Amino acid sequence: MARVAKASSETRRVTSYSGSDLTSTVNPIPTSGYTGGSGASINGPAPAVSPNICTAAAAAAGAAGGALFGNWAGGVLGAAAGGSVGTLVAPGVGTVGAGIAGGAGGSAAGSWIGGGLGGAVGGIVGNILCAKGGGPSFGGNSRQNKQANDAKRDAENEVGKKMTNAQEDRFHDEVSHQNLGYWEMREIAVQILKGII
Amino acid sequence: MNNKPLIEATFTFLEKKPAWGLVRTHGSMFFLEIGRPLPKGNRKNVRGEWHFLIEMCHWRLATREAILVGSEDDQGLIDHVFKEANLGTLDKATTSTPTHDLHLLFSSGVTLSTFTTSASATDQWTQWRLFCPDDNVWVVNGGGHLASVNAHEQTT
Repeated sequence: MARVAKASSETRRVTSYSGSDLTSTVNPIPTSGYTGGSGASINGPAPAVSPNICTAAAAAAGAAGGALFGNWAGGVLGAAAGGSVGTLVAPGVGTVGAGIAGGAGGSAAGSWIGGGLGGAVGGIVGNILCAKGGGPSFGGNSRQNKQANDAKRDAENEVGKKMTNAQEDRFHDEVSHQNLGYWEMREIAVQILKGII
Repeated sequence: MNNKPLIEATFTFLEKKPAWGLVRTHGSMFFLEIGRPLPKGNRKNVRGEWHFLIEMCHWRLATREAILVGSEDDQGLIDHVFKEANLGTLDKATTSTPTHDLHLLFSSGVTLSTFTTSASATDQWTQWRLFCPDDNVWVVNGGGHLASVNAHEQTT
């Protein structure tokens, strides 16, 4: 019986995320998800963190990529244009000198233009990708859980011994709230196994 | 060996004790403290007399009316709810078959439920651990097996 109740609860939660008219068939539940409980003392709106972070990250990545491409493309085109002009004005040394100058100028201009365009495109893409905002991660957290678990297991293989439960607990205390990557967590696990920390 | 009666006996020691210290470690894994806070020592997070570590399983915090937050939620939401949560005391702790899913009911009306969603999870995928004051640790692995071991004993 309890299982049925849980399933019902889960279904209601999913429909509350959908935003479709399915929500009209069940009791409305706030999408913020934690304001309705009479017994729970959890207050305040959820922080709208993800969309802005997603957009900013995508814009930054786009700007970096655009600048790199613009730098390269501008340099090549600038050098070609400069060389052509140099050939007309002073064949020989003039061609090389003007080509170098053209390349440098083209790189700078290309980097600036490419960065701007890349940033704009990245921002738009970020907005699209992050349109769901702070909703379910659909496996993102599980992937991070597995990453931490893999870091521990691989550290055990490297050091040649298993972690005790106390060391497992220490590992989680050390990595808490830091959003570390695999290699950083693996290094922490190695240090714990070796008794360094 | 069926350890369920033993862990249920352990759970009786936790009941009516304050529940606090919800802290996410990595991904959706988190600590939950029960009882009096212990001296911090060189830890980053203060531990309670009893100490849950929820790891490779799904979970949700809910009231009778709604899910407050779950393991698939955005980490910003998880952190926010954990920070704001006032669970009260632990009223009841149970596990359920077949994989020793954990069910905690708090005096605030909030419940914490864990559940595994894989039939192929290995024993290296620990679902949850309960660290006890006497250095005993209850461990439920990915296969749903429950074991009681010493915290400082190396696992095989």
